[in-house]
Amino acid sequence: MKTVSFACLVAITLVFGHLRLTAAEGAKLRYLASIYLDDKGAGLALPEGVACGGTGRLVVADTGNGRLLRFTYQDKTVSGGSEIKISQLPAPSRIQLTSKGETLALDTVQRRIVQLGPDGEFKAVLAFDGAPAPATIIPRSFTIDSADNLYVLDVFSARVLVLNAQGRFQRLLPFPEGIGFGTDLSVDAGGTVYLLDSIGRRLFSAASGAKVFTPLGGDLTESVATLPTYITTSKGIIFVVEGTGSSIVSFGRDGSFLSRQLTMGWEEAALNHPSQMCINDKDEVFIADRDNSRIQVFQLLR
Amino acid sequence: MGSRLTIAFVSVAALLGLHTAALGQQNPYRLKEPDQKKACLACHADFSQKLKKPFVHTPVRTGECSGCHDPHVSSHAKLLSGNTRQICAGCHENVIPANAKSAHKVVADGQCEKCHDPHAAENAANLLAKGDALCFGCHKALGESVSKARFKHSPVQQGCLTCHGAHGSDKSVSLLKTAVPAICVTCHKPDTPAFLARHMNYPVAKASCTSCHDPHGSNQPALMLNSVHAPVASRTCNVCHEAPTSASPFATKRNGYELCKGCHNDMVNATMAKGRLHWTVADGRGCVNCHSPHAAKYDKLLERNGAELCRGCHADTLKRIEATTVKHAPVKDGACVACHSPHGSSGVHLIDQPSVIKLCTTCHDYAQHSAHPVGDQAVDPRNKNLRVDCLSCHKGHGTEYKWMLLNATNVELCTRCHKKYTR
Repeated sequence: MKTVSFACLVAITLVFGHLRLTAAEGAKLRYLASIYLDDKGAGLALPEGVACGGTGRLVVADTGNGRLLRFTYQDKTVSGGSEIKISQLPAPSRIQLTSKGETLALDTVQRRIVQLGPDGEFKAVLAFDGAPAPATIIPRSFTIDSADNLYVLDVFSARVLVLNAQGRFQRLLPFPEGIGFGTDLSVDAGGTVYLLDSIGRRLFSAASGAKVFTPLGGDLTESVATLPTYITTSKGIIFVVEGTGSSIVSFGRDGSFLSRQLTMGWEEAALNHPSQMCINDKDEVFIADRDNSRIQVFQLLR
Repeated sequence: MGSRLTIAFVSVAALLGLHTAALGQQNPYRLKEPDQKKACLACHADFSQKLKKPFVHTPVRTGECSGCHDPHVSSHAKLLSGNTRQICAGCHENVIPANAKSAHKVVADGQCEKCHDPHAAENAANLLAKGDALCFGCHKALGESVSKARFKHSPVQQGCLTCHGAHGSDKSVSLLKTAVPAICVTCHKPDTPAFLARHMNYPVAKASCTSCHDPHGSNQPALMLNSVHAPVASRTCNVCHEAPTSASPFATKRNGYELCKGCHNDMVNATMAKGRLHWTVADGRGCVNCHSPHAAKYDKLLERNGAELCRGCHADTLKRIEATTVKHAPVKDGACVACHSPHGSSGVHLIDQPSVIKLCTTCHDYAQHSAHPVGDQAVDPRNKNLRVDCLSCHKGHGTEYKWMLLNATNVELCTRCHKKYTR
């Protein structure tokens, strides 16, 4: 009887110990693959954007070559790599895929958001219909929610413009007082908008329908050592991409530090000035590894 | 009778007891030489000279050496019984005011001895030097510019403490006893016709005087900062600002870079056409993130000089650079702009050259370097999309190894790529 009790105790300790370990680690990335070439064997150059959708759909902003590339990632295998090169989008950087299969891409030279159809055909340039003055809008970044509403980070007027799927202005969220520099934003499945302050090293959030951002967690200086460049969210975890530090830092929904993954390097599974990252429904993570001129694929282990 | 004797006896005994206790307090450690001062000076004889100085720290004068020092053992240098911050604060509480808006760094760091001699000094408050000489001992550049300034500000001649507190200020930044402009208008009357005329009738009594004037002295008349923006020099404030009679006279006519574009059209257009923008150019403050719109101490109306300007946002990079032992020469000189284009660039990292090799060879002659292949034909063995360039072996800012190499030894460096030779 005593032996059975002891065994139970050991088993419980091991199980809870394991759970605690998993929670503490937060989000671990296991390397899967790298994408170097298009379907004609030409190499990627300084890619700054990557977006992933259902059925393995993957679009890469091959910024240095001034084009988009369409891949499929299914059953841990990369295929495709066809080029979309249009004059309206000479330097694509951050990209998002809508539920209708369209691609939205931020152009770094013209600083505007370009809409492409499911086959990569040019459709429109986002006009910010109905957006309040000033007329000058400089999108530093943008994201979309599950209903294809757009959230555009307008650095010129220190605000986030929320537009509906048709590009019509809905509301705005001013940057919080005292922000260092609003670099990027993300919106989670519940509609909470997250704002990344790269200079002040802070996170802010605005719950769905909120009119202002409020601080989330504390000072990130201890966990984010170098200028962060990108933020995304997935199933309750906030991921912050460090550019110079070439790491992925994850935080809980309350802004608490979870883990720091990957490091700077040239070898596969290392990063060199990463830019955008996306996570699909299979927890496969795609990172635009800019200065290594490749896309790297990881499995997210929660 | 008996009871009287008993009372007298008890009283005498009590008095004796009190006397003994008092003696014990005077010499609690039963020192052979009960006078602590004499006991210490018996060995530290050279200290006698110091005590002849006109200003002696109270515990030294009263011989309470153990007020600061532990006579037996200590974890702190000079047998101090704690760190200087703890020791000094023991008597000198609240040197930095509560809710201070600024604090003198040495005070905040507890380095009181940087200004005060803890034992004795020739100057009041045990200061190590007299008046401004003490301040300029650390603030050397300021001291030089004050002495060389053609036009001097009279409060500066009276001493730094005319305007600044020595320890901290709960009123203003920069240890100012009163914030700008309130401190300025205690002497300068902004409602006089002459003052108003000089300032184009703008209500500058509510503005920051130091955005145009150097309070420490200047080579420009009216103590203007050395580098003056043309509209300020020509007193055409309304090129940028609303009219002085408007409800918001200091409001700018446009926001951010759009205001500057009115005059600097070509430069702004060229910047905005770059593939990669220094994003601070495009935010609501725009150009004034780095340039002062009125006047500045440094060329090109820069708010700070060299890397100090960049530190405002890129402190982490500069911290890493400071930790390196072998630094790139421009980095050592704080000349970030030798390699990075501060407004925008065609390439990543704000490098406005087609490649890293092109950038490096603007200063370095690769023909004099070595025979290792670099450039478009030299594929990096680690990554087919990369080409071998200067940064394959060197780090642009600096490292802890010679020639700013990435590794300490050639074997470590070469086997980064030539892995088959790894032992």
